[in-house]
Amino acid sequence: MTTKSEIAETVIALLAQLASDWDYDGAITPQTYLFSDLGFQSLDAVVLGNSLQERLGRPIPYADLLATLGQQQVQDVTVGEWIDFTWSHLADDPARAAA
Amino acid sequence: MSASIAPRTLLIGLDGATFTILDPLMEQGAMPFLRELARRGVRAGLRSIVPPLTPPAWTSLLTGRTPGHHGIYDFFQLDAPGSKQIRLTTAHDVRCETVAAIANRQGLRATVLNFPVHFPPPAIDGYVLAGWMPWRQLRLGAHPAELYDELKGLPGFDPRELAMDMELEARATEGCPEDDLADWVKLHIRREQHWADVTSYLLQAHPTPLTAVLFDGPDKIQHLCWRYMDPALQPAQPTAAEQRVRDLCIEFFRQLDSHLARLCELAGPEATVILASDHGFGATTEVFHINSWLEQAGYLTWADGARPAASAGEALGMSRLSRHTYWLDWRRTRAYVATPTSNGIHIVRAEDNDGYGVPTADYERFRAELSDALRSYRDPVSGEPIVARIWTREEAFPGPAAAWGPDLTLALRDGGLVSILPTSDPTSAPLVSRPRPVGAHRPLGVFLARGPGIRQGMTFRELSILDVAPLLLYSLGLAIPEGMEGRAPLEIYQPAFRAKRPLQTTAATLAPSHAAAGGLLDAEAEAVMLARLRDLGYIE
Repeated sequence: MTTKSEIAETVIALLAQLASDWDYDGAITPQTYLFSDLGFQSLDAVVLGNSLQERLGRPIPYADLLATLGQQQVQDVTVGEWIDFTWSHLADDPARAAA
Repeated sequence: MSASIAPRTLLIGLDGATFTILDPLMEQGAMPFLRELARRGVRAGLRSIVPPLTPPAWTSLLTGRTPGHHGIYDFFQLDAPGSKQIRLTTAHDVRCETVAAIANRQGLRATVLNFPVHFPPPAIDGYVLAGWMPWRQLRLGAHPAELYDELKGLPGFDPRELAMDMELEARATEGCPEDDLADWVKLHIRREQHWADVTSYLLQAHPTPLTAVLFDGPDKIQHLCWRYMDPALQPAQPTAAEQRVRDLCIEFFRQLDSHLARLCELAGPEATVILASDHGFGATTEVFHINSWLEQAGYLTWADGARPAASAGEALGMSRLSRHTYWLDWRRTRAYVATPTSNGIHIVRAEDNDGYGVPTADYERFRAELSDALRSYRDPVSGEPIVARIWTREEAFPGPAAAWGPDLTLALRDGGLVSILPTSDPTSAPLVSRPRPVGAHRPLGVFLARGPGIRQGMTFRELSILDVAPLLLYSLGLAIPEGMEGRAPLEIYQPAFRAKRPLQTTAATLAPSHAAAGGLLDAEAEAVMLARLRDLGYIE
């Protein structure tokens, strides 16, 4: 996995696949909110983070992303923000650097 | 060994099952299959590990190792020895091979369904659908990944009921209004039906030599409905509502019995069937606010203004996990309890806490002082000790993962769990009677087995939960790795069978590759993530 678009594809495809299990019939786009649109609750974000780290083969500090939510007017995170954050933390990934 | 000629074994886990409940149900005719299984096989009490709690106990059953070796102590895990942060326990924390992986190494495939600490799902040669998953993410607990879509096509497949709603799950320990009990039991009747359907499908469509499935409903129902199930506590003159709950509980076990019959039939008459529980059950009648006791004894101080109050219906504090990190004054706290599930006390070590806490040189003395103080805490009326037993970390958890365990582990006199919440008033007695008894774990669970070579109609006094993993391997004709802490209980087999199938041993079990690497996930980040989500109100 070496490009941001591939990261975006992976995240959106995973969320779309999960959302199909919830009978969510809206589109998953970078503007979709995880909590208010997709109905995330409880440990969903933790499990999603774990799964993405597993797929990417390295830890991503998603806690830092959530830490910024408290300072925002809308205390939620969009799919696009999740993708941006993931991509920004792959900066030191040798596979990405080589791309 | 070729899979085509391999014996077949079906492990059915019954979370929290106890003969206190099962025997009367068998006698009353509500569980005819289980009664017949006991008549055609063997039964015994099954001694759990310390603490007798679902994640460590099932991990011990599947690995044949104690928590000091496999590293699982609770639903939540310290992110590092000496850390105050806790995070979700995951499969990456398991430091020992499970029987499924051992069977794979010896050429046999395996199926593992609904067991805890199986997320992310281990990439075994076979099938995994992890238990204790939030329902929205259940797909991520499937291995191989395409298994989920295959199961999704089954008639009636419903991830909402197959997996868990974590907010509802907290009810098992916190309690719920009496009016909700009937719906609680009905939910678990449906959930067991779903797991039975999934298991039935896989037994037919993708049979593997070893199939293991866990039914978690007995634990969930007994926690809340114990007084309707325990013959010693049943209301003598039940109201219509009470009778309704009791009838539903019996219906739950009646249907569970039919699931057992169906799965055993599908496994075939030549299959070995092993039924086991991770712990037993009994009544708990009081709540010990351990952090209040520590406060009053001078070992714990709440941060200024942070002394939390329990909300209505909240007894133990399941929804307040992780808050100890900012609830407590870490400059004036030397011991605390972080979770209400494993009765473990952590001692704050000065070396891990900017110099505040118990210095290493004083650790042994401090721990002994704290243990003595707990032992001397008594019921003001009867004079009876509240704490029945205390294990030090070295006593309870010898092994390479000991440092992740609590410094002290308690067994309370009523077998209950501690509360991490403080009492309403700093001077209130830390021991509070419950308005009515509820269910709590006990160390002695159940074991039943039948199959080729197994004696018929015999009762053995007690086996260890650590004996089940070697027994599973023996039943499959596989070699047992050296280093397992239990033993294959060959006395349950006829001598002629034992002579034909001598016990084989092999090199010590291997550590899973993820454990050797220390895990893939960033533990500290996950702990902080949980805390952030709580602050935002997403985890309550």
